Amino acid sequence: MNWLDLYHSTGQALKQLNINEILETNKESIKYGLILTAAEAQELIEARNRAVRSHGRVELGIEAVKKIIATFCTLPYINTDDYALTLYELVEIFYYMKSETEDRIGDDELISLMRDFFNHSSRGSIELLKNRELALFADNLKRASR
Amino acid sequence: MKYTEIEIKTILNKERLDPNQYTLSLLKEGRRAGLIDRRTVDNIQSQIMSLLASLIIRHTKGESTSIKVETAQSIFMSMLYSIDAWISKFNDPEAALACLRTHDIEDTHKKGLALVAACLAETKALYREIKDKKLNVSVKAYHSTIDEALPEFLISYDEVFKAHDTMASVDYPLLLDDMRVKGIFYIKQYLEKLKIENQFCSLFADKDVGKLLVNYGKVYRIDYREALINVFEILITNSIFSVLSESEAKKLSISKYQYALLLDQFKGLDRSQCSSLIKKAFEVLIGELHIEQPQLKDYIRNAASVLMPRYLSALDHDCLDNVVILDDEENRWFDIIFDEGKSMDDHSFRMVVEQIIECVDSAEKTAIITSSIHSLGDFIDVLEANCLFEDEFSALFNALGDMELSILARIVFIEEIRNEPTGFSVRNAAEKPMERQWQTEYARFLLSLSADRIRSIEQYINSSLQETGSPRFLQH
Repeated sequence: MNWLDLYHSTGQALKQLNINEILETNKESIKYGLILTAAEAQELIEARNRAVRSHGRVELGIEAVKKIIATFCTLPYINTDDYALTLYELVEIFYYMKSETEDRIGDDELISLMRDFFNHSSRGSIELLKNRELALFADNLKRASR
Repeated sequence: MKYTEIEIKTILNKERLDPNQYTLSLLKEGRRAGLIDRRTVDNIQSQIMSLLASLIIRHTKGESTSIKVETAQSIFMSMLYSIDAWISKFNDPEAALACLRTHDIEDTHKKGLALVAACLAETKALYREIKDKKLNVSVKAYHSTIDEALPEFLISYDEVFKAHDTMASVDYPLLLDDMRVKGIFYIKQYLEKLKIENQFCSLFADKDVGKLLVNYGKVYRIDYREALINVFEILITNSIFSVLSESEAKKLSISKYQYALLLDQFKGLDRSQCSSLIKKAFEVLIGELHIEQPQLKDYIRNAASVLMPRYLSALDHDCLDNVVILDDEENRWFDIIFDEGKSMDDHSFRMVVEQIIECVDSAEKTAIITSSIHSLGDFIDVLEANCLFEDEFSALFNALGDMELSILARIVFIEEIRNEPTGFSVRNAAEKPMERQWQTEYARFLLSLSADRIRSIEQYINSSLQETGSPRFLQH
C-alpha cells in the first residue's frame, strides 16, 4: 500500500467535508455575485485532485484552493458565467507553477503573483497568465538559480 | 494439528521482519499473527500520517501545503527511520510491537530522532579519530573517502528530513561491510570497521605495506593507487601466509623460496585439513602481533571466515600465487609507462559534452573528443555521459591505437584479467554481457577487429603497466 495515497482525499466522508468547506466560501464570494453549486464544488475538488496527481505532488488539504477562491473572487475580471471554470483552471495553473518553480515559492506568494498578473498584464486572460506571464516568470527563476 | 496452526498464527515470524522497514513490517506481521487488531493499526497509521503532515509543513516552513511526491516519500522514509531506530532498541519484536501499540507515535519518533542525533555526534567524533590516524598508503579511494566523502556526508546529513539517506561517495571498500544498513547507522558502522582495519594495518611498517601494494598492482596488472582495493585484506592475507611459510606475521614479504615451502605445507592435505591449518595461522597471527583488543580479534576471526573460501579455492585450483603476493625484487621494470593525463575542471568538461551532444556527425564527435580530452578519467566520463550513440562509439574506438584500446580493456575486463592473468583472451571476455552501454559497444568493436589486432591488444594487456610519465591517453 502506498501510504501517501491517503493524502489524495479519495475517501467519501473526507470528500463531502471538502465540498462543504468549498461551499462555505460562497458566503464571501456572493458579495461579488459569484456562487459555486454543490456539483461545481465537487468538480473543483476533482480538478484539484487531478492537478495534484498530474504534477506529481502530495497535498495535505484544500487550504490552497480556498485561498485561490478568496483571492480571485474579488477581482473584476472574474465573471459569474465562467466562475467555476476559471477556478478549475486556476487550481491547475497553481499546481503546475508549484512544480515549475521547484517549490521555491510559497503558496501565498504564488497566489498573489497569479492575482497580480491576472489583474494587470494578462487582463483577465487565463491563457496569457499561464503561457506568457507565469511561463516567463518560471524561466527567469530557473535561469537565476543556475 | 489445530493447536499448531494457532501457535503459528500467534508467534511473530522474525524472518518476515525487514530491518530497513521495521515498523511497517512489524505492523504487517503483527496483524498476521493476530497480535494487533485492525483498529489499532488504523490508529497507528493515522498517527503516522498526521506526524508526516506536520513534518511536511515544517519542511516547507509553513509556506506550502503541498510538496513533490518524491520529497514526501523521502520525509516519510526519514520519519520511519527514526521510529525504527527507537523500536529496534527492544530486545524482541513482541516488545517493539507492544511499544507501537501503547505509545504515541509522535513521542516514539521524538525518541528515535534523539537516538539518530546522538549517533551523528558519535560518528563525528569517530570520524575525527580516524582522520587523525590515517594510514600512510597511496590508495586514492582511501584518502578521498576520508578527506572528502565522509566530511561532506557528515556536514550535509539531515536527521529530520533525510535520516535514511546514505548518499555519500564512500568508495573505499571494507572487507566486512554491511550495506543493508542505511543512513547514519551505516556510516557509523563503516567507520567503526574502518577504525579496526586501520588498527590492524598500522601494525606493519609503512615501507613494507607500500612494497606489498606495488607488488599487488604488478600481479593484477593494475595501478593499485587507482584501484578500489581493501588494504586490510591484502595485508592480512600475506601476513597469514607468512606465518604459514614459517616466517613471522609481521613480515609481509614472501619470497619464492617461502612460497615453495608454503606449497609443501599444503601438499597432500584435504580441504578440511587445509582449512584448519589456515585457521590456526589466524590464531598465531593474533598472538604474534600481540592483538589484545577484543573488537580487532573478532574482526580478524570474522575476516577468516570470509577469506577462507577464497584461500581454499585458490589451493584447489593451484593458483595460490594469485592470492599470496610474492616479493618481486627482480621484476621491477614496466613494459608500458602510462600517464593518465590531467582531468578537466567540471565546467570545461560540461562544455565539451554539450559540444558533442550538439554535433550530429560521428567523425566530428570523434574529432572533438580526441582533440579536447587528454585524460583517461575524462575519456571514461565522456563514454558514460550519454552523448554517443551506436555507430558513434565504434567511430571513436576506431580512432584509438591498440595500446589505448588495451587500457580500456584493463578497465572493462578487470575481473577476467585477474582470473586469467596469463591466458586472458579478448574474444572470450568480449562475448560476455556488459553492464554499461559503452562497454557493450566496446566489446562489439573488439570482436569486429582482425585476429592480428586482437593479438596486439592482448600483448599490451599482458605487459606490465606503470601509470606515470608518458605517453598520455589520447595524445597522438
